[in-house]
Amino acid sequence: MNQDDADSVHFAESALLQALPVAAWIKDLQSRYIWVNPELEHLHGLSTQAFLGHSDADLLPDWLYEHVQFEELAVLATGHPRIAELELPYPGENARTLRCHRSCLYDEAGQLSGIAGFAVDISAEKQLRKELQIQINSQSSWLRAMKDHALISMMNRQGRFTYVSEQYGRLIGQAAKAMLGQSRAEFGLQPEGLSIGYYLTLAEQGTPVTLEFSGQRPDGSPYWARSLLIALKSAADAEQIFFELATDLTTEKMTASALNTVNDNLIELINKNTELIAQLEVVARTDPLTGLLNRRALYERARQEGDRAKRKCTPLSLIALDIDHFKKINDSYGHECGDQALVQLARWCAQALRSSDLMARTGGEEFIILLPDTDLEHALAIAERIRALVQNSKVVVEEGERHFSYTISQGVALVGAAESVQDAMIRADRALYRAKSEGRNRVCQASL
Amino acid sequence: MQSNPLSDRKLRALAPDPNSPQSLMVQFYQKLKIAITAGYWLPNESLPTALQFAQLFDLPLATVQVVFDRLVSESWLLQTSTQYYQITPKIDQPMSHLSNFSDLLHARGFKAGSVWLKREIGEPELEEEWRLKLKTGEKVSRLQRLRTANDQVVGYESTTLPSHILPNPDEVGASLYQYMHEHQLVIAKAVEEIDAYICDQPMAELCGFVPGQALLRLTRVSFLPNGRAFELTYSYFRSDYYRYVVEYN
Repeated sequence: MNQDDADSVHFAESALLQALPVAAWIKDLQSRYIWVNPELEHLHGLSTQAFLGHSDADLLPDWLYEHVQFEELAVLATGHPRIAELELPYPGENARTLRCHRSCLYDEAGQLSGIAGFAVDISAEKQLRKELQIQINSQSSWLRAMKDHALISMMNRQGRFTYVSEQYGRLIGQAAKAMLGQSRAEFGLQPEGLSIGYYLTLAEQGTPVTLEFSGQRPDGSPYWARSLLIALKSAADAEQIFFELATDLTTEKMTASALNTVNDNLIELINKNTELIAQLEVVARTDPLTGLLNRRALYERARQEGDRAKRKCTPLSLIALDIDHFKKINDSYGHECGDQALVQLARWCAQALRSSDLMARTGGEEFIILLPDTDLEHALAIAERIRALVQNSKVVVEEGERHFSYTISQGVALVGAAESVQDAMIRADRALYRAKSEGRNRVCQASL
Repeated sequence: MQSNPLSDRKLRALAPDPNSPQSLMVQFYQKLKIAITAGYWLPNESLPTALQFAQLFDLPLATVQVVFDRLVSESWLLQTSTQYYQITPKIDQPMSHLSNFSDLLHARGFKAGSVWLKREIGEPELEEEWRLKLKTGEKVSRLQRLRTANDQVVGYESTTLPSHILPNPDEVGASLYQYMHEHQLVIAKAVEEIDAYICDQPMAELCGFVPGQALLRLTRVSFLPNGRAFELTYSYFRSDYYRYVVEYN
């Protein structure tokens, strides 16, 4: 994969993560947020800044915070993912119920480094479960039984109605009187594929028979019912009376099928997102402020680039870069302006660099630029180009009200044939400090 | 046991936050207590010493020691030697639903067990007749057992059922609930009462508790879907190892 491909994959991953339909987050070992996605921000009605560096102690009611602490420590204690439900009392008047999935995160060296989590909103599912439970409970109550008793009919051996209660008629959407003398089959009141005669014969042998049937009322609405068939006389009697006691299952079935849909959606959502969650790790490689690679990602890429340069016998150079008097910027303009200076530097450098070059933020105001296919002479020229660009540019803050400028010091090194990229970085760093001590705003070449 | 308990990175999650408005001691107390209940340490595993915690989190030793002493006095921790502490089988019982005692203990890494003391059919006592609404002359089946956590007695339980529900008490294996399940005895409703009980001499001899120790007594009556009471259970738990947690919404 070439650099452009890698960049676009990286971009796609970030975009996917941003577009996650569930709230997701990463926390460090002290339980402070280090990454959140827009869904989580939306859920709490807070901005990214309100999360980063903060723990849930600042975001959740006290009683929920203890629960979250317990869940997080239990994940760390066992190393196993855990799922727990959380009821959020805000925003809005309706409480939201979240199903939170949490698992441990490990760094490159396999060391425990934090916790990743995502939350699925299951409020709708919970509401439906509650409704279904009410349906099931009322099903067994005496009141319901009394009502059900009124859903009755009587039939003769031919399966023609001799009595139909008003409620029974209402259930299937027919006038009870109009059903008298008609055959059951005409209304489709039998289980699929089997004739009513089969059930009547069974019932006549002395055991009550149950059957479930469903259909549509003339107005198009569906109904479901379960009936108990009892033969009141014996098979030997000339005339038979079949007594039917029906139970209306319509609401229960409709709630259950709605619940199934919700469950299916939920399972689909979780299946889709497990893959995305696995990619959360990728985001942990990016510096959230500048969008540059972070230190960990840099070392990984540096190793790859070093290997490639050796394999292809091409030169690999690098620049160690540091903003001059950065503390003064922070002190005199505030931290937000300091942040702005860092963001701008990343943009300016992007103008001076090729797409194959890599830039990483390795510390507060420290950066490393990797220059593949570049010898020392060209690397020095690029560093000088960046130096001049930064010196002649301004950082505009407070909506254009104020501006300031700053300079940078750089150390440039060519990775030696028998040298590791890491060792070259150390040499570049020494050159950077020489540049600082020689008066700043300059480029120094690393000594061998 | 680990050679160096401090190398464990999960311990870093217990570091108090100097930027929090709460005192470091309160933060450490809360984190350590939650870690104990969340399963950071297994039964018989020693916690890092107070000195180790103090060095790891840059806390005064006295602060850590106060927290340890407090957790010992609340029975979350047990001091096993001058510097070493271990967790106890103390559990929180959430009130909102019927939780299985064995599951709660198991979640904390303890082996839940029970020792049968008695399984018999007999004449009901007045309280049993009243609670189970027994007909005159109806007999009862009684099951009495000790509840244990890692072979340490933490409670005593006595269950009474009408003998027509459980004609042969010896059929009940380790779990009464399993027997109920197998015999389609569904609990439609249960009512639980809680009161304090002072351990008397016979109970002390039976369970190895200290006479005069405060016990928590739970009295539960369970009902079948047809409305009939069918199970009466008295549970006596060491009040230092058992807590009831009730949430109001």
